[in-house]
Amino acid sequence: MENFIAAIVVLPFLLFFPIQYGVEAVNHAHITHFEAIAESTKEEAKQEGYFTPQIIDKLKQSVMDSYKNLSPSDIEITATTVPRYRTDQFDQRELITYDISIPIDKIIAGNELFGISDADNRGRYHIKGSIASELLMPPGDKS
Amino acid sequence: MKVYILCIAVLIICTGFFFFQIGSDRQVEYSELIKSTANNAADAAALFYDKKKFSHGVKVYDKDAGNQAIAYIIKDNLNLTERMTFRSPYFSASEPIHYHAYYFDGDGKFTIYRDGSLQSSSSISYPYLFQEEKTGYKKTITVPTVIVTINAGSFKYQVQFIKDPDIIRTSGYEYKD
Repeated sequence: MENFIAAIVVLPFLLFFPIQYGVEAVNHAHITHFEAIAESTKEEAKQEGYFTPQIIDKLKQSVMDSYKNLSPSDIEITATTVPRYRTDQFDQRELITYDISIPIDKIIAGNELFGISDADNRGRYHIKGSIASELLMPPGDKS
Repeated sequence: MKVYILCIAVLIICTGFFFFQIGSDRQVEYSELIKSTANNAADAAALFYDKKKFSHGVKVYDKDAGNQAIAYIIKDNLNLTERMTFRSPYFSASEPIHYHAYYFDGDGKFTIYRDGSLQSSSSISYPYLFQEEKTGYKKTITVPTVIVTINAGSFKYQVQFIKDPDIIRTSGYEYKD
Protein backbone atom coordinates (compact mmCIF):
# COMPACT_ATOMS: atom_id res chain seq x y z
CA MET A 1 0.00 0.00 0.00
CA GLU A 2 2.86 2.38 0.83
CA ASN A 3 4.50 1.63 -2.52
CA PHE A 4 1.20 2.32 -4.30
CA ILE A 5 0.81 5.69 -2.59
CA ALA A 6 4.43 6.60 -3.32
CA ALA A 7 3.95 5.69 -6.99
CA ILE A 8 0.71 7.75 -7.20
CA VAL A 9 2.54 10.81 -5.79
CA VAL A 10 5.50 10.52 -8.14
CA LEU A 11 3.58 9.48 -11.28
CA PRO A 12 2.48 13.00 -12.45
CA PHE A 13 6.08 14.19 -12.30
CA LEU A 14 7.33 11.17 -14.23
CA LEU A 15 4.54 11.41 -16.82
CA PHE A 16 5.54 15.01 -17.57
CA PHE A 17 8.82 13.93 -19.18
CA PRO A 18 7.66 11.71 -22.05
CA ILE A 19 4.93 14.23 -22.88
CA GLN A 20 7.47 17.07 -22.82
CA TYR A 21 9.81 15.08 -25.07
CA GLY A 22 6.96 14.88 -27.58
CA VAL A 23 6.13 18.59 -27.32
CA GLU A 24 9.78 19.55 -27.81
CA ALA A 25 10.11 17.18 -30.78
CA VAL A 26 7.02 18.65 -32.45
CA ASN A 27 8.21 22.23 -31.89
CA HIS A 28 11.65 21.38 -33.25
CA ALA A 29 10.15 19.74 -36.36
CA HIS A 30 8.00 22.82 -37.01
CA ILE A 31 10.99 25.13 -36.57
CA THR A 32 13.31 23.19 -38.89
CA HIS A 33 10.64 22.92 -41.57
CA PHE A 34 9.90 26.64 -41.22
CA GLU A 35 13.62 27.42 -41.58
CA ALA A 36 13.76 25.39 -44.82
CA ILE A 37 10.73 27.23 -46.24
CA ALA A 38 12.16 30.62 -45.24
CA GLU A 39 15.52 29.75 -46.84
CA SER A 40 13.98 28.97 -50.22
CA THR A 41 11.77 32.08 -49.99
CA LYS A 42 14.82 34.27 -49.33
CA GLU A 43 16.45 32.96 -52.53
CA GLU A 44 13.42 34.08 -54.53
CA ALA A 45 13.43 37.48 -52.82
CA LYS A 46 17.13 37.92 -53.72
CA GLN A 47 16.29 37.42 -57.41
CA GLU A 48 13.30 39.78 -57.31
CA GLY A 49 15.05 42.40 -55.20
CA TYR A 50 12.36 42.46 -52.53
CA PHE A 51 9.61 40.37 -50.93
CA THR A 52 6.86 40.61 -53.53
CA PRO A 53 3.22 40.01 -52.53
CA GLN A 54 3.39 36.71 -54.45
CA ILE A 55 6.47 35.59 -52.49
CA ILE A 56 4.82 36.52 -49.19
CA ASP A 57 1.61 34.66 -50.10
CA LYS A 58 3.57 31.59 -51.20
CA LEU A 59 5.56 31.64 -47.95
CA LYS A 60 2.39 31.84 -45.86
CA GLN A 61 0.73 29.05 -47.85
CA SER A 62 3.77 26.76 -47.52
CA VAL A 63 3.93 27.31 -43.77
CA MET A 64 0.18 26.74 -43.34
CA ASP A 65 0.37 23.53 -45.39
CA SER A 66 2.96 22.06 -43.05
CA TYR A 67 1.82 23.58 -39.77
CA LYS A 68 -1.73 22.55 -38.94
CA ASN A 69 -4.29 24.91 -37.40
CA LEU A 70 -2.46 28.02 -38.51
CA SER A 71 -4.11 31.05 -40.09
CA PRO A 72 -2.40 33.65 -42.33
CA SER A 73 -2.60 36.23 -39.55
CA ASP A 74 -0.52 33.99 -37.25
CA ILE A 75 2.48 34.28 -39.58
CA GLU A 76 4.01 37.71 -39.13
CA ILE A 77 6.23 39.01 -41.90
CA THR A 78 8.05 42.35 -41.76
CA ALA A 79 10.21 42.57 -44.86
CA THR A 80 11.43 44.91 -47.56
CA THR A 81 8.54 45.37 -49.97
CA VAL A 82 10.11 47.91 -52.34
CA PRO A 83 12.84 46.92 -54.80
CA ARG A 84 16.46 47.02 -53.69
CA TYR A 85 19.19 47.00 -56.33
CA ARG A 86 22.70 45.69 -56.76
CA THR A 87 25.33 48.32 -56.11
CA ASP A 88 28.97 48.60 -57.14
CA GLN A 89 30.03 49.36 -53.57
CA PHE A 90 28.61 47.87 -50.39
CA ASP A 91 25.64 49.91 -49.18
CA GLN A 92 23.64 48.49 -46.29
CA ARG A 93 20.64 50.59 -47.32
CA GLU A 94 20.29 48.44 -50.41
CA LEU A 95 20.04 45.19 -48.44
CA ILE A 96 16.75 43.33 -48.22
CA THR A 97 15.70 42.96 -44.58
CA TYR A 98 13.19 40.45 -43.24
CA ASP A 99 11.67 39.34 -39.95
CA ILE A 100 9.43 36.28 -40.33
CA SER A 101 7.90 34.60 -37.29
CA ILE A 102 5.56 31.73 -36.46
CA PRO A 103 3.80 31.02 -33.16
CA ILE A 104 4.92 28.29 -30.78
CA ASP A 105 1.67 27.40 -29.02
CA LYS A 106 3.02 25.15 -26.28
CA ILE A 107 6.52 25.34 -24.83
CA ILE A 108 6.05 23.28 -21.65
CA ALA A 109 3.67 20.31 -21.39
CA GLY A 110 1.40 20.32 -18.37
CA ASN A 111 2.08 23.99 -17.69
CA GLU A 112 -0.76 24.21 -15.15
CA LEU A 113 1.10 21.70 -12.96
CA PHE A 114 3.95 24.20 -12.64
CA GLY A 115 1.73 27.27 -12.25
CA ILE A 116 2.52 28.61 -15.74
CA SER A 117 -0.41 30.25 -17.51
CA ASP A 118 -1.30 29.42 -21.13
CA ALA A 119 -0.37 32.97 -22.16
CA ASP A 120 3.13 32.61 -20.68
CA ASN A 121 3.50 29.18 -22.28
CA ARG A 122 3.39 30.65 -25.80
CA GLY A 123 6.11 32.24 -27.84
CA ARG A 124 7.14 33.14 -31.36
CA TYR A 125 10.09 31.85 -33.37
CA HIS A 126 11.72 34.58 -35.45
CA ILE A 127 13.93 34.32 -38.49
CA LYS A 128 15.40 37.72 -39.24
CA GLY A 129 18.35 39.22 -40.99
CA SER A 130 19.42 40.81 -44.22
CA ILE A 131 20.38 39.57 -47.66
CA ALA A 132 21.86 41.22 -50.73
CA SER A 133 19.67 41.96 -53.70
CA GLU A 134 20.65 40.54 -57.09
CA LEU A 135 18.26 42.85 -58.96
CA LEU A 136 20.00 45.04 -61.51
CA MET A 137 19.27 48.75 -61.37
CA PRO A 138 17.08 49.90 -64.30
CA PRO A 139 19.11 51.65 -67.03
CA GLY A 140 19.25 55.40 -66.61
CA ASP A 141 18.46 55.30 -62.87
CA LYS A 142 21.68 56.29 -61.09
CA SER A 143 20.05 57.52 -57.83
CA MET B 1 11.99 3.73 0.71
CA LYS B 2 13.24 1.68 -2.23
CA VAL B 3 10.48 3.03 -4.46
CA TYR B 4 11.32 6.57 -3.37
CA ILE B 5 15.01 6.18 -4.17
CA LEU B 6 14.21 4.51 -7.51
CA CYS B 7 11.82 7.30 -8.47
CA ILE B 8 14.39 9.97 -7.59
CA ALA B 9 16.94 8.19 -9.79
CA VAL B 10 14.46 8.02 -12.68
CA LEU B 11 13.64 11.72 -12.19
CA ILE B 12 17.34 12.64 -12.39
CA ILE B 13 17.84 10.60 -15.58
CA CYS B 14 14.70 12.06 -17.18
CA THR B 15 15.75 15.60 -16.25
CA GLY B 16 19.19 15.00 -17.75
CA PHE B 17 17.66 13.81 -21.01
CA PHE B 18 15.20 16.74 -20.94
CA PHE B 19 18.02 19.27 -20.91
CA PHE B 20 20.03 17.25 -23.45
CA GLN B 21 17.09 17.24 -25.87
CA ILE B 22 16.68 21.01 -25.58
CA GLY B 23 20.40 21.56 -26.17
CA SER B 24 20.50 19.15 -29.09
CA ASP B 25 17.53 20.81 -30.81
CA ARG B 26 18.95 24.30 -30.28
CA GLN B 27 22.31 23.14 -31.68
CA VAL B 28 20.67 21.92 -34.88
CA GLU B 29 18.73 25.20 -35.22
CA TYR B 30 21.83 27.34 -34.65
CA SER B 31 23.84 25.19 -37.04
CA GLU B 32 21.28 25.79 -39.80
CA LEU B 33 21.18 29.51 -38.98
CA ILE B 34 24.96 29.77 -39.24
CA LYS B 35 24.95 27.82 -42.52
CA SER B 36 22.28 30.17 -43.91
CA THR B 37 24.30 33.20 -42.75
CA ALA B 38 27.46 31.87 -44.44
CA ASN B 39 25.41 31.39 -47.62
CA ASN B 40 24.02 34.94 -47.48
CA ALA B 41 27.46 36.40 -46.74
CA ALA B 42 29.12 34.53 -49.64
CA ASP B 43 26.29 35.57 -51.96
CA ALA B 44 26.64 39.23 -50.99
CA ALA B 45 30.44 39.25 -51.40
CA ALA B 46 30.19 37.60 -54.82
CA LEU B 47 28.13 40.53 -56.17
CA PHE B 48 31.05 42.99 -56.02
CA TYR B 49 33.67 42.74 -58.75
CA ASP B 50 35.88 44.94 -60.92
CA LYS B 51 33.66 46.09 -63.83
CA LYS B 52 36.56 47.09 -66.06
CA LYS B 53 38.24 43.70 -65.86
CA PHE B 54 34.85 41.99 -66.23
CA SER B 55 34.32 43.85 -69.51
CA HIS B 56 37.48 42.04 -70.70
CA GLY B 57 36.00 38.71 -69.65
CA VAL B 58 37.79 38.26 -66.31
CA LYS B 59 35.91 38.39 -63.01
CA VAL B 60 38.07 39.78 -60.20
CA TYR B 61 36.26 40.30 -56.91
CA ASP B 62 36.28 43.61 -55.04
CA LYS B 63 37.62 42.30 -51.74
CA ASP B 64 37.05 45.53 -49.76
CA ALA B 65 33.37 45.70 -50.65
CA GLY B 66 33.03 41.94 -50.25
CA ASN B 67 34.56 41.93 -46.77
CA GLN B 68 32.34 44.82 -45.68
CA ALA B 69 29.28 42.92 -46.86
CA ILE B 70 30.39 39.69 -45.16
CA ALA B 71 31.05 41.41 -41.82
CA TYR B 72 27.74 43.28 -41.86
CA ILE B 73 25.62 40.30 -42.86
CA ILE B 74 27.22 37.96 -40.31
CA LYS B 75 26.75 40.53 -37.52
CA ASP B 76 23.16 41.29 -38.51
CA ASN B 77 21.93 37.77 -39.23
CA LEU B 78 23.47 36.23 -36.11
CA ASN B 79 22.52 39.25 -33.94
CA LEU B 80 26.07 39.67 -32.64
CA THR B 81 27.41 42.36 -30.36
CA GLU B 82 29.93 45.00 -31.49
CA ARG B 83 32.71 42.61 -30.43
CA MET B 84 31.24 39.90 -32.70
CA THR B 85 30.13 37.74 -29.77
CA PHE B 86 26.80 35.98 -29.46
CA ARG B 87 24.10 37.39 -27.20
CA SER B 88 22.71 33.86 -26.79
CA PRO B 89 23.63 31.96 -23.57
CA TYR B 90 24.47 28.91 -25.66
CA PHE B 91 27.74 30.51 -26.81
CA SER B 92 30.61 32.19 -25.06
CA ALA B 93 29.99 35.86 -24.26
CA SER B 94 33.71 36.64 -24.27
CA GLU B 95 35.03 34.74 -27.29
CA PRO B 96 34.16 36.38 -30.64
CA ILE B 97 33.22 34.35 -33.69
CA HIS B 98 35.77 34.00 -36.47
CA TYR B 99 35.13 33.84 -40.17
CA HIS B 100 37.20 33.13 -43.24
CA ALA B 101 36.49 34.40 -46.74
CA TYR B 102 38.05 32.60 -49.70
CA TYR B 103 38.04 34.50 -53.01
CA PHE B 104 38.74 32.60 -56.25
CA ASP B 105 39.22 35.23 -58.97
CA GLY B 106 38.94 34.63 -62.68
CA ASP B 107 42.60 35.63 -63.22
CA GLY B 108 43.80 32.68 -61.11
CA LYS B 109 44.30 34.59 -57.87
CA PHE B 110 43.27 32.87 -54.63
CA THR B 111 42.96 35.15 -51.59
CA ILE B 112 42.14 34.25 -48.00
CA TYR B 113 40.81 36.74 -45.44
CA ARG B 114 40.31 36.04 -41.75
CA ASP B 115 37.93 38.35 -39.89
CA GLY B 116 38.34 40.86 -42.70
CA SER B 117 42.17 40.87 -42.61
CA LEU B 118 44.29 39.49 -45.45
CA GLN B 119 45.87 36.17 -44.56
CA SER B 120 47.37 34.94 -47.80
CA SER B 121 47.30 35.39 -51.54
CA SER B 122 48.51 32.92 -54.15
CA SER B 123 48.13 31.96 -57.79
CA ILE B 124 46.20 28.87 -58.78
CA SER B 125 44.98 27.25 -61.98
CA TYR B 126 41.51 25.92 -62.66
CA PRO B 127 40.17 23.34 -61.98
CA TYR B 128 41.42 23.70 -58.42
CA LEU B 129 40.67 21.29 -55.58
CA PHE B 130 39.85 23.44 -52.58
CA GLN B 131 39.84 21.89 -49.11
CA GLU B 132 38.58 23.97 -46.21
CA GLU B 133 41.01 23.41 -43.34
CA LYS B 134 38.51 23.70 -40.49
CA THR B 135 35.80 21.38 -41.77
CA GLY B 136 37.61 19.25 -44.37
CA TYR B 137 35.00 20.39 -46.91
CA LYS B 138 36.25 19.74 -50.45
CA LYS B 139 35.13 21.36 -53.66
CA THR B 140 36.54 21.45 -57.16
CA ILE B 141 36.57 25.11 -58.18
CA THR B 142 36.12 25.75 -61.90
CA VAL B 143 34.60 29.26 -61.97
CA PRO B 144 35.11 32.44 -59.88
CA THR B 145 33.73 31.64 -56.45
CA VAL B 146 33.46 33.14 -52.96
CA ILE B 147 33.40 30.76 -49.99
CA VAL B 148 32.69 31.88 -46.42
CA THR B 149 33.39 29.76 -43.33
CA ILE B 150 31.99 30.81 -39.96
CA ASN B 151 33.45 29.35 -36.76
CA ALA B 152 30.90 30.13 -34.08
CA GLY B 153 32.94 28.47 -31.31
CA SER B 154 31.73 25.96 -28.75
CA PHE B 155 28.03 25.35 -28.33
CA LYS B 156 27.42 25.10 -24.59
CA TYR B 157 25.20 22.24 -23.55
CA GLN B 158 23.54 22.59 -20.16
CA VAL B 159 24.31 18.98 -19.24
CA GLN B 160 27.86 18.44 -18.06
CA PHE B 161 28.46 14.99 -19.51
CA ILE B 162 28.38 16.30 -23.10
CA LYS B 163 31.59 17.62 -24.64
CA ASP B 164 30.70 21.02 -26.11
CA PRO B 165 30.94 20.71 -29.90
CA ASP B 166 32.27 23.46 -32.16
CA ILE B 167 29.89 24.78 -34.78
CA ILE B 168 31.74 25.53 -38.01
CA ARG B 169 29.74 25.93 -41.23
CA THR B 170 30.86 26.68 -44.75
CA SER B 171 28.98 27.92 -47.81
CA GLY B 172 29.97 29.23 -51.20
CA TYR B 173 28.45 31.14 -54.08
CA GLU B 174 29.54 30.80 -57.66
CA TYR B 175 28.25 32.47 -60.79
CA LYS B 176 28.33 30.26 -63.82
CA ASP B 177 28.23 32.07 -67.15
